Amino acid sequence: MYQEQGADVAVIGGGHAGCEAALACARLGLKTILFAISLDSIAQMPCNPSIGGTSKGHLVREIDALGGEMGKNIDKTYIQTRMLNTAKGPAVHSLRAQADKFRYKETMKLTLEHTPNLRIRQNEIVKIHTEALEGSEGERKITGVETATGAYYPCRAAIICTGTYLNSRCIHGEYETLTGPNGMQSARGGLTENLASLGLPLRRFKTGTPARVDGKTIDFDKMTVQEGDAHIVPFSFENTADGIRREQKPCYLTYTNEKTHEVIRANLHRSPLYGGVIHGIGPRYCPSIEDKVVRFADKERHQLFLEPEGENTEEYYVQGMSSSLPEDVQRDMLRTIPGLEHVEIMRTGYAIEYDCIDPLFLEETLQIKTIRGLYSAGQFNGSSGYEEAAAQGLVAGINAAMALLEKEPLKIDRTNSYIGVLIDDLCTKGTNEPYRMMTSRAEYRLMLRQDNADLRLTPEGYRVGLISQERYEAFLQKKAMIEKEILRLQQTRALDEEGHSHGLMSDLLKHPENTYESLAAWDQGREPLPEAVWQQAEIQIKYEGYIRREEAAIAHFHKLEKRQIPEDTDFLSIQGLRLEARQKLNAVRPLSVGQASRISGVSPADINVLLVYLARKNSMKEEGEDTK
Amino acid sequence: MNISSTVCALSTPVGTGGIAVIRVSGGSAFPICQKILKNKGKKLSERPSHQAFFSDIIDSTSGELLDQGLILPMKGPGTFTGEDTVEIDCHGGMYICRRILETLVQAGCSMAQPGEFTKRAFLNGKLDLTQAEAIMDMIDAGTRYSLKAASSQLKGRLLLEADELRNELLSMLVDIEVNIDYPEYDDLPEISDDDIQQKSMDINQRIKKLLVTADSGIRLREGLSTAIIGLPNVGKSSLLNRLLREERAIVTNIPGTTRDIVSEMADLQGLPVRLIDTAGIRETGDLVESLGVKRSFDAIEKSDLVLFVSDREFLLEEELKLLQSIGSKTWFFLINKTDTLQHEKASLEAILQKLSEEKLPLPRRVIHISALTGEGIDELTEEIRETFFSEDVLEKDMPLVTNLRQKEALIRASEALDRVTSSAGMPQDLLSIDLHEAADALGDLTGKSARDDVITQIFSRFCLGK
Repeated sequence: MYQEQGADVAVIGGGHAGCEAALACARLGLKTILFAISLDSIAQMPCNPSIGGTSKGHLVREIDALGGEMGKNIDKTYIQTRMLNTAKGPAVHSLRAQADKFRYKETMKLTLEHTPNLRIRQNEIVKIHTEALEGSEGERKITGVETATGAYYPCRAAIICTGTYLNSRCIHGEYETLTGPNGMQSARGGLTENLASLGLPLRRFKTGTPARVDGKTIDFDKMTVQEGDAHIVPFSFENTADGIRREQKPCYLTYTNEKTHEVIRANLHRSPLYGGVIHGIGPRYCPSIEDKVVRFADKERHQLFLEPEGENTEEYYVQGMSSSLPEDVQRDMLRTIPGLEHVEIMRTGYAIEYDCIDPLFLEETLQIKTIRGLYSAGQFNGSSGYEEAAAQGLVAGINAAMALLEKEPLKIDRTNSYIGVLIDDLCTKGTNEPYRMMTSRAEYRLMLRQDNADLRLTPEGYRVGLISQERYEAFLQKKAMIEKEILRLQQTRALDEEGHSHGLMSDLLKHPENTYESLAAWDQGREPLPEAVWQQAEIQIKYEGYIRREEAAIAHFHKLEKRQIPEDTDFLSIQGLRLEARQKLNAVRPLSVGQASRISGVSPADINVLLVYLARKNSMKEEGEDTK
Repeated sequence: MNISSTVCALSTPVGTGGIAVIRVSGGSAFPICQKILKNKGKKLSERPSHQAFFSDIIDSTSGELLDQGLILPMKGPGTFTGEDTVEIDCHGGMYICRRILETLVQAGCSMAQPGEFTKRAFLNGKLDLTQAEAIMDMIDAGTRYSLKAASSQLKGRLLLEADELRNELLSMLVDIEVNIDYPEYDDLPEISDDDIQQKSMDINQRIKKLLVTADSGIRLREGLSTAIIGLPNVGKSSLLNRLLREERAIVTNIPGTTRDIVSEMADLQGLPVRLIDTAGIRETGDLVESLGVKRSFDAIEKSDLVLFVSDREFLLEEELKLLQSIGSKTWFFLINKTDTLQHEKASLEAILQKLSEEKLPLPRRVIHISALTGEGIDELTEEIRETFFSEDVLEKDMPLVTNLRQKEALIRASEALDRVTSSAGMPQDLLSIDLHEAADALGDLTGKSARDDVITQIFSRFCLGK
């Protein structure tokens, strides 16, 4: 082992989590080094070629509001963009873009390269060096990281972002390879063993990806074409629609059929999933096609989307056909599908198993509970998805930096962001499968809209130092304009063509059939405003009743969060608690009653018991003080 | 509640048998009871646990013999509460029980709050919360009908109904949510706005039906709060005694030990009627004397029913003054035949006329009674049943809401569903806010939380994913 020039922060892995983590630390002025097993895998999208979608689009907007990179990078490299759910309420409008995979990662890598304080190094980290933390019981702190080539880099913090690379194995039917995603090298040099020896609870998760096929061999005429939106909404609040407008590429919709299912059923015995070869826990929400056919046997067809992998390629991603069946079966089943009769596979679909951590072992800062300075983010934490990974990378990066700069950690929770929901779900509820964000997971969904992510989070992004003064001032100006317009609408009478009053504009706007735009003719004195401004005014007035109630619910939430549970509480000994609840509480060790109430397996009745216990403990303490 | 204290209470209703059981529980149960026992055997603490013995029971200060009975010492934690416990089997008369409890208090016990033994059992890890709640209801059930309500609860009829309603809400939420989170799927069943409205209204109807029974159900559990008021010497105490003795009273509290206003539970043919400030009536013999007036106002304030007792068929000025404080409370006008019944007849119409003139509330009923002979008490009972206890609740075997927490949860659910109805036309993801609220409220009642259930169901019912 030889010593290399150290850094404040070492980021292990260059995926979506690693990129955000490294950028955040470097931008906050810390000397940062990012290690990737291959520099060609930086910001790689080894599965679907898209960013965003329901709730994931929200995450990207929030990443942007906090000063992260993902939104800007997809705005530079999208080849199709759509706002989903526009027929539903504003809270669930969701932005999704098809990405040019190749340009996406190349653009991100260039951003990393041009960021001051940031070094990029192709190497595998095989060991985390720690020492005992003074004045603590059994806690340790990080001192440096060691590469497979024997280099030692001293550091004050490290962020593990190993994605699906750690000890990974890919399975295509009977054929297995000890590789990472997309044929990349797996991280097998000893990091798993090292982390286990540090006492981290590791587990094995599984995910999968479908085949990529040659576009020249697809008959698109047999499929339904799906174009992008003409009305473009950028992911980044710094961009304008006109600033990022470009030619879009379509996607195509087709379906499986009974013949496809026959091929699958006839070859199930060759499936590693059903043959017991795969032991990792796979997610419910992205089942392989063989899984779908078995579990939903009465379904006659399953939807498939053909999505371009980029502009300068003929490769298409077959969304809906994720599979670990042998490649000849994959070929045969694809060829039963209308439009894919003569299709040629370019990359075979596969299942991948990898090592990750039980996220209950993390603090809400994403620091590992027992090792000061060691953080983790992304799929290593049991999540799934590029956006979930990037969000955690940003949070871990900011918090690592805040700790080194001796500043307050990032203030996020379930009431101000999907990122808060994500982190709290992982660290409090834990997960038994790769965790995917969904809008249904957010209790305060109406408050956490994609359109107001900047209003919710820009001040915090500014406080930690990732939002520039210029952007912050523009934000304040926008906010003032929104407030002014709301006030104006609340005070302006709607007058029809003959000058008759129809009541206040704000009252009219509350009728479901009216919109800000449809009321234009009756709205005297309306000045042209940016869409982002009047849209906020419209939403805040239109849904005022619901918003008020969600605000009340949020106030209640904060009240429960403030009911603190002493850190030394022995949950196992609380009488009256069901055994399951005792164990769950003991595993998570919640710091507030609110957090305790969200732990799965802890019922409202258990919370009552906990409240009684805390009240009793308090009164006993007082009694004890009285007798002194 | 102070768990470190030692508490005592009567554990059986007085008079339901010849024997009453007084239970003492807490760290000092043995030394305290030792002070009121007189026998030739070993000290309580030296006796084998769970073995009864016979002893004189004496007043701890005067040494006066109060009773003789079986004493059962039980060492914790192998007891119901988990604490050292002594059970005293004494004779069932109200006077004896009261004296024994009084001397226990003098010897260092506190009177147990209602349900305190169960609470202690729970806090000491002997019961879980759901068991504790059901047992508390059973203990509190003072009368035949109360017991019926409690056992219906124990069987979980209300919980079953609430759970079913909650499941219907969840299933609706799953249909809404899956379309929100997976908009690109064209083969998911969409739930129409009309469907959401119709189903919400159906569920709300069923919740409202449960709520109709709620007030009666809660009364069955807690007793109908009743104040007896009237001028001095119209027969309030004799009415009180009549009501309490008629069906043998259950003493739930001993005067002066726990609360300012003491109440006693009367069992009127199975209906639990809680008579407020019986101590006030007993001590002063009337409520209108100096200190009594304020007390009678307090009693009226706390009551659901006011029994206004008079011994004549016309109203005196002071009576009119007293009636002013009734406000909007339901009240019965009881005309009591006393020994000194003054046969100054005036028609009932004249009384009602007078009340109208004075703009005073009219009585729900006018009943002639004789507190001494018991005449008219049946009629009074019948009127109480008709006015306060819905037939559905008493006779039909339907799910009952028997406590305020349950009632509040149902109201919360119902109000949320009302909002779904009034918000027709709003996007489904907004309607889902109130549907979630309703499901959460029902979940509070059944002890379940909704959000994870919805997500689990989404994946078990639909085929989704890349």
